[in-house]
Amino acid sequence: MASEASLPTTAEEYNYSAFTRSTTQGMSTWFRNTVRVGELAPDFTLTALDGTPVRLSDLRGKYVVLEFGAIT
Amino acid sequence: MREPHPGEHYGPHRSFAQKLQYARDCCAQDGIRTRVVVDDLDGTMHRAYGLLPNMVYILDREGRVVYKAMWTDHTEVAAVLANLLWAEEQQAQGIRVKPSYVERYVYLPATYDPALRERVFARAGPQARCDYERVFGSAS
Repeated sequence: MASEASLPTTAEEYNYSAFTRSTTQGMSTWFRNTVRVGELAPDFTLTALDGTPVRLSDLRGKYVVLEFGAIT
Repeated sequence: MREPHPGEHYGPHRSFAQKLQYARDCCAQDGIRTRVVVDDLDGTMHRAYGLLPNMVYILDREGRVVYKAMWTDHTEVAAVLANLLWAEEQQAQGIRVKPSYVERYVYLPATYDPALRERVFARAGPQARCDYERVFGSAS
């Protein structure tokens, strides 16, 4: 992971209101330091569009593609 | 994940219900048919996976990362999945195959899919374009 100093600490910092140069800084470091090939992917439970929970570890036995996105 | 280019029409997430609605809008507008799940307002899952804006991971049947890349290349993702299935077939036939571990970090043209960028700016609102051009310039 990136150094703690560069990470947003609150939901408001995380959900910034304007894209700025600082938004783009440190990406290569983040890429290198985040979960790596060969490692177990961190488990999570997220909400599907119909409101039902989806747990990653329930998908064991299948290949899984995780693609990150947003509407903007 | 969070909105990378918030604007007047689609601003930053301020509630989980809003974030969920944005995801529903995105699927409806873009015709997305894959399973979509929504992170919490703090981005807990996004942080655990590196906080980057356009990541793609492929996990094997045991849940281990076998591929990760910044920016999604669907052709490459399809090729990796095909290769994984091919390897399983070989192993099922008793043929030994060796894994090759790759993490891709490459530079792509800044003009990567400009039509998509224009559509995103139009959808987000004028502020999204202004902020982007303030960082990268109007020609990039």
